[in-house]
Amino acid sequence: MHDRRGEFEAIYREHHRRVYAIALRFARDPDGAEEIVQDAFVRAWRSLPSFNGNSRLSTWLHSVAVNAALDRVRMRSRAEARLDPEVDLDRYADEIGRAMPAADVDLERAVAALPEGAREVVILHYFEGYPCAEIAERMGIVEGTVKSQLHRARQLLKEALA
Amino acid sequence: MSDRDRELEVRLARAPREADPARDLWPDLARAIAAEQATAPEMAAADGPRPRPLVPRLPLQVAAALALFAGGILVGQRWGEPSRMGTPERVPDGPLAAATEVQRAGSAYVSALSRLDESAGPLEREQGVDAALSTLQGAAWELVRLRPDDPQAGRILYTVSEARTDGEEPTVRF
Repeated sequence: MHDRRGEFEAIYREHHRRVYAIALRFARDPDGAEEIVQDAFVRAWRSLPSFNGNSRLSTWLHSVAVNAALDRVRMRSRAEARLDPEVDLDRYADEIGRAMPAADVDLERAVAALPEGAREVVILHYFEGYPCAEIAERMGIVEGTVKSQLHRARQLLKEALA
Repeated sequence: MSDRDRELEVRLARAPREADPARDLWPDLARAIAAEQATAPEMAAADGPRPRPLVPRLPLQVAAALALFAGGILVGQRWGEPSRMGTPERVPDGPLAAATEVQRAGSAYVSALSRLDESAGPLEREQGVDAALSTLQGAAWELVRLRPDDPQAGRILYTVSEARTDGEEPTVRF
Protein backbone atom coordinates (compact mmCIF):
# COMPACT_ATOMS: atom_id res chain seq x y z
CA MET A 1 0.00 0.00 0.00
CA HIS A 2 2.78 2.40 0.93
CA ASP A 3 4.61 1.57 -2.32
CA ARG A 4 1.50 2.51 -4.23
CA ARG A 5 1.26 5.71 -2.19
CA GLY A 6 4.89 6.44 -3.00
CA GLU A 7 4.27 6.00 -6.70
CA PHE A 8 1.22 8.21 -6.46
CA GLU A 9 3.18 10.90 -4.66
CA ALA A 10 5.62 10.90 -7.58
CA ILE A 11 2.68 11.38 -9.95
CA TYR A 12 1.39 14.19 -7.76
CA ARG A 13 4.79 15.90 -7.64
CA GLU A 14 5.08 15.79 -11.42
CA HIS A 15 1.61 17.03 -12.26
CA HIS A 16 0.30 19.14 -9.37
CA ARG A 17 1.35 22.50 -10.86
CA ARG A 18 -0.70 21.84 -13.97
CA VAL A 19 -3.69 20.80 -11.88
CA TYR A 20 -3.32 23.79 -9.55
CA ALA A 21 -3.38 26.16 -12.53
CA ILE A 22 -6.68 24.69 -13.70
CA ALA A 23 -8.07 24.74 -10.18
CA LEU A 24 -7.02 28.31 -9.44
CA ARG A 25 -8.61 29.68 -12.60
CA PHE A 26 -11.87 27.87 -11.94
CA ALA A 27 -12.05 28.58 -8.21
CA ARG A 28 -10.63 32.13 -8.34
CA ASP A 29 -9.35 31.78 -4.79
CA PRO A 30 -6.48 29.76 -3.36
CA ASP A 31 -8.55 27.89 -0.77
CA GLY A 32 -11.04 26.71 -3.37
CA ALA A 33 -8.19 25.82 -5.68
CA GLU A 34 -6.59 23.62 -3.03
CA GLU A 35 -9.89 21.84 -2.54
CA ILE A 36 -10.17 21.16 -6.27
CA VAL A 37 -6.59 19.87 -6.38
CA GLN A 38 -7.27 17.53 -3.52
CA ASP A 39 -10.56 16.38 -4.99
CA ALA A 40 -8.92 15.78 -8.37
CA PHE A 41 -6.06 13.72 -6.98
CA VAL A 42 -8.33 11.70 -4.70
CA ARG A 43 -10.48 10.90 -7.74
CA ALA A 44 -7.34 9.97 -9.63
CA TRP A 45 -6.23 7.74 -6.75
CA ARG A 46 -9.58 5.96 -6.80
CA SER A 47 -9.60 5.52 -10.56
CA LEU A 48 -5.92 4.85 -11.17
CA PRO A 49 -6.35 1.05 -11.08
CA SER A 50 -8.82 1.35 -13.96
CA PHE A 51 -6.59 3.69 -15.98
CA ASN A 52 -6.17 1.70 -19.17
CA GLY A 53 -3.14 3.48 -20.59
CA ASN A 54 -4.86 4.33 -23.85
CA SER A 55 -4.10 7.98 -23.18
CA ARG A 56 -1.09 9.57 -21.57
CA LEU A 57 -1.25 9.78 -17.82
CA SER A 58 -0.93 13.56 -17.98
CA THR A 59 -3.87 13.79 -20.39
CA TRP A 60 -5.99 11.53 -18.23
CA LEU A 61 -5.09 13.41 -15.06
CA HIS A 62 -5.81 16.70 -16.75
CA SER A 63 -9.25 15.43 -17.68
CA VAL A 64 -9.91 14.31 -14.11
CA ALA A 65 -8.89 17.75 -12.84
CA VAL A 66 -11.18 19.54 -15.30
CA ASN A 67 -14.09 17.35 -14.20
CA ALA A 68 -13.37 18.10 -10.55
CA ALA A 69 -13.25 21.82 -11.30
CA LEU A 70 -16.46 21.77 -13.31
CA ASP A 71 -18.22 19.79 -10.58
CA ARG A 72 -17.18 22.40 -8.03
CA VAL A 73 -18.48 25.20 -10.22
CA ARG A 74 -21.80 23.37 -10.58
CA MET A 75 -22.03 22.74 -6.84
CA ARG A 76 -21.33 26.37 -6.05
CA SER A 77 -23.93 27.44 -8.56
CA ARG A 78 -26.54 25.28 -6.92
CA ALA A 79 -25.74 25.52 -3.25
CA GLU A 80 -23.38 28.33 -2.39
CA ALA A 81 -23.90 31.11 -4.89
CA ARG A 82 -26.63 32.74 -2.88
CA LEU A 83 -24.55 32.61 0.28
CA ASP A 84 -21.20 33.72 -1.13
CA PRO A 85 -21.65 35.32 -4.53
CA GLU A 86 -18.71 37.71 -4.30
CA VAL A 87 -15.27 36.79 -5.55
CA ASP A 88 -12.35 38.81 -4.25
CA LEU A 89 -10.63 39.63 -7.53
CA ASP A 90 -7.83 41.56 -5.78
CA ARG A 91 -6.93 38.48 -3.75
CA TYR A 92 -7.18 36.36 -6.87
CA ALA A 93 -4.89 38.70 -8.80
CA ASP A 94 -2.37 38.57 -5.95
CA GLU A 95 -2.44 34.78 -5.99
CA ILE A 96 -2.04 34.69 -9.77
CA GLY A 97 0.96 37.00 -9.50
CA ARG A 98 2.52 34.80 -6.84
CA ALA A 99 1.69 31.39 -8.34
CA MET A 100 2.27 32.31 -11.98
CA PRO A 101 5.01 34.94 -12.11
CA ALA A 102 4.88 35.06 -15.91
CA ALA A 103 1.12 35.57 -16.03
CA ASP A 104 -0.58 38.57 -17.61
CA VAL A 105 -2.39 39.57 -14.43
CA ASP A 106 -4.68 42.08 -16.14
CA LEU A 107 -5.82 39.42 -18.58
CA GLU A 108 -6.31 36.82 -15.83
CA ARG A 109 -8.32 39.30 -13.81
CA ALA A 110 -10.50 40.15 -16.80
CA VAL A 111 -11.14 36.47 -17.45
CA ALA A 112 -12.00 35.92 -13.80
CA ALA A 113 -14.55 38.74 -14.00
CA LEU A 114 -16.38 37.19 -16.96
CA PRO A 115 -19.91 35.92 -16.37
CA GLU A 116 -20.25 32.28 -15.41
CA GLY A 117 -20.45 30.14 -18.51
CA ALA A 118 -18.34 32.45 -20.61
CA ARG A 119 -15.54 32.21 -18.06
CA GLU A 120 -15.50 28.41 -18.00
CA VAL A 121 -15.57 28.25 -21.79
CA VAL A 122 -12.62 30.63 -22.08
CA ILE A 123 -10.59 28.66 -19.54
CA LEU A 124 -11.26 25.37 -21.26
CA HIS A 125 -10.73 26.65 -24.81
CA TYR A 126 -7.87 29.12 -24.54
CA PHE A 127 -6.00 27.99 -21.44
CA GLU A 128 -6.59 24.25 -21.61
CA GLY A 129 -6.85 23.81 -25.36
CA TYR A 130 -10.16 21.98 -25.60
CA PRO A 131 -12.05 22.18 -28.92
CA CYS A 132 -15.59 23.56 -28.82
CA ALA A 133 -17.20 20.16 -29.37
CA GLU A 134 -15.46 18.65 -26.35
CA ILE A 135 -16.29 21.64 -24.17
CA ALA A 136 -19.92 21.25 -25.15
CA GLU A 137 -19.84 17.59 -24.17
CA ARG A 138 -18.16 18.24 -20.83
CA MET A 139 -20.42 21.13 -19.89
CA GLY A 140 -23.60 19.49 -21.16
CA ILE A 141 -24.43 22.26 -23.59
CA VAL A 142 -24.64 22.43 -27.38
CA GLU A 143 -21.63 23.41 -29.44
CA GLY A 144 -23.36 26.51 -30.75
CA THR A 145 -23.71 27.78 -27.20
CA VAL A 146 -20.00 27.28 -26.62
CA LYS A 147 -19.19 29.32 -29.73
CA SER A 148 -21.57 32.09 -28.79
CA GLN A 149 -20.13 32.16 -25.25
CA LEU A 150 -16.63 32.46 -26.72
CA HIS A 151 -17.72 35.30 -28.98
CA ARG A 152 -19.36 37.10 -26.06
CA ALA A 153 -16.32 36.51 -23.87
CA ARG A 154 -13.95 37.96 -26.48
CA GLN A 155 -16.07 41.10 -26.73
CA LEU A 156 -16.12 41.52 -22.96
CA LEU A 157 -12.38 40.89 -22.66
CA LYS A 158 -11.57 43.44 -25.34
CA GLU A 159 -13.69 46.02 -23.54
CA ALA A 160 -12.10 45.21 -20.18
CA LEU A 161 -8.55 45.37 -21.53
CA ALA A 162 -8.99 48.45 -23.72
CA MET B 1 -9.94 39.62 -37.49
CA SER B 2 -9.03 43.05 -36.11
CA ASP B 3 -5.73 44.01 -34.47
CA ARG B 4 -7.45 43.98 -31.09
CA ASP B 5 -8.73 40.47 -31.76
CA ARG B 6 -5.26 39.29 -32.69
CA GLU B 7 -3.73 40.95 -29.67
CA LEU B 8 -6.26 39.25 -27.41
CA GLU B 9 -5.62 35.86 -29.01
CA VAL B 10 -1.87 36.27 -28.49
CA ARG B 11 -2.28 37.26 -24.85
CA LEU B 12 -4.56 34.29 -24.22
CA ALA B 13 -2.18 31.91 -25.98
CA ARG B 14 0.77 33.09 -23.86
CA ALA B 15 -0.97 32.42 -20.56
CA PRO B 16 1.02 30.05 -18.32
CA ARG B 17 -0.27 26.51 -17.93
CA GLU B 18 1.26 25.82 -14.54
CA ALA B 19 1.00 27.42 -11.12
CA ASP B 20 2.71 26.80 -7.79
CA PRO B 21 0.52 26.35 -4.73
CA ALA B 22 1.58 28.45 -1.76
CA ARG B 23 2.25 25.33 0.32
CA ASP B 24 2.91 21.64 -0.13
CA LEU B 25 -0.51 20.02 -0.57
CA TRP B 26 0.77 16.44 -0.50
CA PRO B 27 0.57 15.86 3.30
CA ASP B 28 -3.13 16.78 3.34
CA LEU B 29 -3.71 14.73 0.21
CA ALA B 30 -1.92 11.71 1.68
CA ARG B 31 -4.15 11.89 4.76
CA ALA B 32 -7.25 12.25 2.62
CA ILE B 33 -6.27 9.19 0.63
CA ALA B 34 -5.64 7.25 3.82
CA ALA B 35 -9.06 8.26 5.09
CA GLU B 36 -10.57 6.94 1.87
CA GLN B 37 -9.25 3.48 2.48
CA ALA B 38 -11.95 1.72 4.43
CA THR B 39 -9.97 -1.49 4.19
CA ALA B 40 -7.07 0.12 6.05
CA PRO B 41 -8.70 2.61 8.42
CA GLU B 42 -5.67 2.68 10.69
CA MET B 43 -3.82 4.69 8.04
CA ALA B 44 -6.22 7.55 8.66
CA ALA B 45 -5.21 7.72 12.28
CA ALA B 46 -1.78 9.12 11.57
CA ASP B 47 -0.57 11.97 13.74
CA GLY B 48 -0.95 15.52 12.55
CA PRO B 49 -3.79 17.79 11.62
CA ARG B 50 -6.90 16.34 10.10
CA PRO B 51 -7.13 16.48 6.31
CA ARG B 52 -8.82 19.41 4.72
CA PRO B 53 -12.18 18.68 3.15
CA LEU B 54 -12.06 17.03 -0.26
CA VAL B 55 -14.91 19.23 -1.37
CA PRO B 56 -16.66 22.08 0.39
CA ARG B 57 -18.93 21.02 3.22
CA LEU B 58 -22.29 21.48 1.66
CA PRO B 59 -25.76 20.69 2.91
CA LEU B 60 -25.97 18.43 -0.14
CA GLN B 61 -23.42 16.06 1.35
CA VAL B 62 -25.28 15.81 4.61
CA ALA B 63 -28.55 15.38 2.75
CA ALA B 64 -27.07 12.57 0.68
CA ALA B 65 -25.85 10.74 3.78
CA LEU B 66 -29.13 11.28 5.59
CA ALA B 67 -31.03 10.04 2.57
CA LEU B 68 -29.00 6.85 2.74
CA PHE B 69 -29.83 6.45 6.43
CA ALA B 70 -33.48 7.31 6.00
CA GLY B 71 -33.87 5.00 3.04
CA GLY B 72 -32.34 2.17 5.03
CA ILE B 73 -34.59 2.86 7.98
CA LEU B 74 -37.68 2.76 5.81
CA VAL B 75 -36.61 -0.51 4.28
CA GLY B 76 -35.80 -1.90 7.70
CA GLN B 77 -39.14 -0.87 9.17
CA ARG B 78 -40.96 -2.51 6.32
CA TRP B 79 -39.03 -5.72 5.87
CA GLY B 80 -36.60 -6.03 8.74
CA GLU B 81 -38.57 -8.25 11.13
CA PRO B 82 -36.60 -9.15 14.28
CA SER B 83 -37.26 -12.86 13.76
CA ARG B 84 -35.21 -12.71 10.61
CA MET B 85 -32.19 -11.19 12.27
CA GLY B 86 -29.01 -13.10 11.72
CA THR B 87 -30.78 -15.88 9.85
CA PRO B 88 -29.21 -16.58 6.50
CA GLU B 89 -31.82 -16.86 3.85
CA ARG B 90 -31.62 -18.35 0.44
CA VAL B 91 -31.23 -15.65 -2.17
CA PRO B 92 -33.59 -16.27 -5.06
CA ASP B 93 -32.20 -16.90 -8.48
CA GLY B 94 -32.87 -14.53 -11.32
CA PRO B 95 -31.96 -11.04 -12.41
CA LEU B 96 -32.97 -9.45 -9.09
CA ALA B 97 -30.99 -11.87 -6.92
CA ALA B 98 -28.11 -9.50 -6.23
CA ALA B 99 -30.40 -6.56 -5.48
CA THR B 100 -32.52 -8.73 -3.20
CA GLU B 101 -29.46 -9.84 -1.29
CA VAL B 102 -28.34 -6.23 -0.81
CA GLN B 103 -31.82 -5.25 0.31
CA ARG B 104 -32.03 -8.06 2.87
CA ALA B 105 -28.61 -7.30 4.26
CA GLY B 106 -29.55 -3.64 4.53
CA SER B 107 -32.77 -4.53 6.32
CA ALA B 108 -30.89 -6.69 8.80
CA TYR B 109 -28.45 -3.85 9.41
CA VAL B 110 -31.18 -1.34 10.10
CA SER B 111 -33.12 -3.73 12.31
CA ALA B 112 -30.01 -4.42 14.38
CA LEU B 113 -29.57 -0.69 14.90
CA SER B 114 -33.20 -0.36 15.90
CA ARG B 115 -32.79 -3.05 18.56
CA LEU B 116 -29.60 -1.37 19.78
CA ASP B 117 -31.56 1.74 20.64
CA GLU B 118 -34.17 -0.26 22.49
CA SER B 119 -32.01 -2.46 24.66
CA ALA B 120 -28.38 -1.38 24.89
CA GLY B 121 -26.75 0.64 27.65
CA PRO B 122 -24.66 3.76 26.93
CA LEU B 123 -21.37 1.89 26.43
CA GLU B 124 -22.90 -0.83 24.28
CA ARG B 125 -24.77 1.77 22.31
CA GLU B 126 -21.56 3.70 21.67
CA GLN B 127 -19.82 0.57 20.50
CA GLY B 128 -22.80 -0.28 18.34
CA VAL B 129 -22.82 3.15 16.77
CA ASP B 130 -19.12 2.87 16.03
CA ALA B 131 -19.67 -0.52 14.42
CA ALA B 132 -22.62 0.88 12.48
CA LEU B 133 -20.54 3.76 11.13
CA SER B 134 -17.74 1.40 10.22
CA THR B 135 -20.19 -0.79 8.30
CA LEU B 136 -21.75 2.23 6.66
CA GLN B 137 -18.32 3.46 5.63
CA GLY B 138 -17.56 0.08 4.12
CA ALA B 139 -20.85 0.17 2.24
CA ALA B 140 -20.15 3.70 1.00
CA TRP B 141 -16.70 2.60 -0.13
CA GLU B 142 -18.24 -0.26 -2.12
CA LEU B 143 -20.66 2.22 -3.71
CA VAL B 144 -17.68 4.30 -4.80
CA ARG B 145 -15.97 1.21 -6.19
CA LEU B 146 -19.12 0.30 -8.13
CA ARG B 147 -19.63 3.84 -9.43
CA PRO B 148 -16.24 5.57 -9.34
CA ASP B 149 -17.42 8.50 -11.44
CA ASP B 150 -20.55 9.20 -9.39
CA PRO B 151 -19.93 12.34 -7.33
CA GLN B 152 -22.86 11.56 -5.03
CA ALA B 153 -21.29 8.23 -4.04
CA GLY B 154 -18.04 10.03 -3.34
CA ARG B 155 -19.77 12.59 -1.18
CA ILE B 156 -21.57 9.91 0.82
CA LEU B 157 -18.26 8.19 1.49
CA TYR B 158 -16.67 11.47 2.44
CA THR B 159 -19.50 12.44 4.78
CA VAL B 160 -19.52 9.08 6.53
CA SER B 161 -15.74 9.15 6.83
CA GLU B 162 -15.96 12.62 8.33
CA ALA B 163 -18.51 11.42 10.87
CA ARG B 164 -16.19 8.57 11.87
CA THR B 165 -13.09 10.69 12.20
CA ASP B 166 -14.97 13.35 14.15
CA GLY B 167 -16.13 10.69 16.57
CA GLU B 168 -19.59 12.17 16.33
CA GLU B 169 -22.82 10.29 16.10
CA PRO B 170 -24.84 10.83 12.96
CA THR B 171 -27.71 13.24 13.22
CA VAL B 172 -30.21 10.47 12.62
CA ARG B 173 -31.28 8.73 15.78
CA PHE B 174 -31.00 4.96 15.57
